[in-house]
Amino acid sequence: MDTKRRFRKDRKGFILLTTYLIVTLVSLFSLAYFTRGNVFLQASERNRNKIVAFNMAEAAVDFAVRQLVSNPNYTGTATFTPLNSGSAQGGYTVTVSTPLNNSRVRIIQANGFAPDNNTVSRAYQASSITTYFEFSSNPLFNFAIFAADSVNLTGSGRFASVDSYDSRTGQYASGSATSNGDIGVNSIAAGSITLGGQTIVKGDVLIGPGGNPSTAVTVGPNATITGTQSTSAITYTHPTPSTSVPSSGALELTGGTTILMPGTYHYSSLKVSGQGVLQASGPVTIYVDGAVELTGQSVVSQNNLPKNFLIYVIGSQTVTLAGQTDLYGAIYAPNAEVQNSGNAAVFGAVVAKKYTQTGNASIHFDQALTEVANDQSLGTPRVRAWQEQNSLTWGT
Amino acid sequence: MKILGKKGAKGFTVSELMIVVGLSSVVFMGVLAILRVGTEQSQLSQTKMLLQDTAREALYKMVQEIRQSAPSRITIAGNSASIQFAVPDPASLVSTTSYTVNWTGAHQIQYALGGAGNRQILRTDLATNRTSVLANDVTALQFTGDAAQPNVVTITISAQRNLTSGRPVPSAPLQLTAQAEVRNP
Repeated sequence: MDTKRRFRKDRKGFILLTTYLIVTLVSLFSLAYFTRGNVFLQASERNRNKIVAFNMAEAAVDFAVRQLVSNPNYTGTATFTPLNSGSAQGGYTVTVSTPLNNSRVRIIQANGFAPDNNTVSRAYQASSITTYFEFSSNPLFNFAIFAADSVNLTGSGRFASVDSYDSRTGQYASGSATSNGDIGVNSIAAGSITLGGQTIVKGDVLIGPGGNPSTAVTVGPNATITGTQSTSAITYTHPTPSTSVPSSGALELTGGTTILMPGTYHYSSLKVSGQGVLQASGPVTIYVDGAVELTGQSVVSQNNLPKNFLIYVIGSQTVTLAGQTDLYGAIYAPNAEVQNSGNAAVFGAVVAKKYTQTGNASIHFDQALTEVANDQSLGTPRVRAWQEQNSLTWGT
Repeated sequence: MKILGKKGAKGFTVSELMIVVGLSSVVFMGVLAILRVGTEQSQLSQTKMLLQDTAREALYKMVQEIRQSAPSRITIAGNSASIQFAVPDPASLVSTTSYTVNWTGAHQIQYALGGAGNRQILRTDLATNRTSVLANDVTALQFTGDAAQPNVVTITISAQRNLTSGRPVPSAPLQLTAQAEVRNP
């Protein structure tokens, strides 16, 4: 009887042990599966954050470029900028620097983080992109005549033709002249552009933003514009020129020929009158602080290429053109009035504060002058070099 | 009476046992068949998932690396099955005078099918002649350029794996496509 009872008692213990064993095994399997699932989850999170961090870095580059378009001096943001969107948590920091030897270049160092920039955050990932951007050049001369305030050509009974050619493909010929002889002003005042006499403008006419061409442009009964009359989307900026070349004082020629060697010159004033001839033997750039009077026999540029004779007028004294022979060159006088009373042609371009023409002079815009860069006005930033942190190590 | 009854209890007849064994076998085989179908379905889903992950990861890596190159430094083979491109040295990305990419020290990288059964994407650094495997079970690899958009390279991967039963998964190769927009000028 006792033996039977003990046997039954032992059987109960065996069942308990078996249950414990099964429960333990099930728990172990569950734990293993849970751990496995958790590892997969973490790997998946890290992978997702890796992609998010990379995209954050790229967003930072885009953001910096957008800032640079409106502010070339943008230096970035060293503080973490979150860009959380739904389940994609992350942000970036970005720094923008300018190398000492090239003011047009910007180095953008963008760092992307996910879920934030705290290295102990769950599934933390970071990515970086280094890019080099360079601002394109804005042309200094993109009109035949541009004046901030007004353009007035030409006097009653006078004849003026404004057209274009390209000295890179050959000399000007009236039969092959093109219709890019554009005229522009920043002003929107009534009569900002006045075309009188028998003026023919083979090109477009552009007034400042927000203006009305029908009031800002006055076209006489015998004057013609072959292109369009429209409003500019932007205000053109023409900064005051500057040079580090020391001034050589005034240059005044009343007779004989003076030859300028290729290079940059700086004068307090420039006057060529009477029988005086100013000749350039190569590409010449002349900076003038004060008055400019070109009323003599001639100003001769090398090979009659306007790009080889550039006059930058720093001050606001009037520039007088009354030469008896053609001028091959460009005049950049953003602060001064340019008065052209001569009858000879100008092959090149003029930038002035105000342009007034009373003679029969024609302006033939040389499109090669668009290669002359406006050093103080930056264009669109463009990629020069791009490097991303890469999971495939270079060279392996 | 009670004791006698227990002693006199008869066993199963052979026919009864055969019927029981027969029925049990049928049930057992049914269970096995169900289990086998379940296992294969699970294997099928896992294989599809794995193939997708592998192909996606390989595409991601290739896109990331091709982006470092430049349109003029990419050559796609005539049969579109391989690509060679230059990747600049990360330690000397640009010339510090011109701020243009320094291609002189660049490495030439190649992606092509090869390896076991010609079903692996191999990445070869032609400068060091080192090769690594980016993905397995790839049945086709295709690179295409676009004359209108020379900075864009389209990569298409087809992947398929044979199960232990010999069944190909998926029945038609899984195809994934990605585009790499080359970043350097």
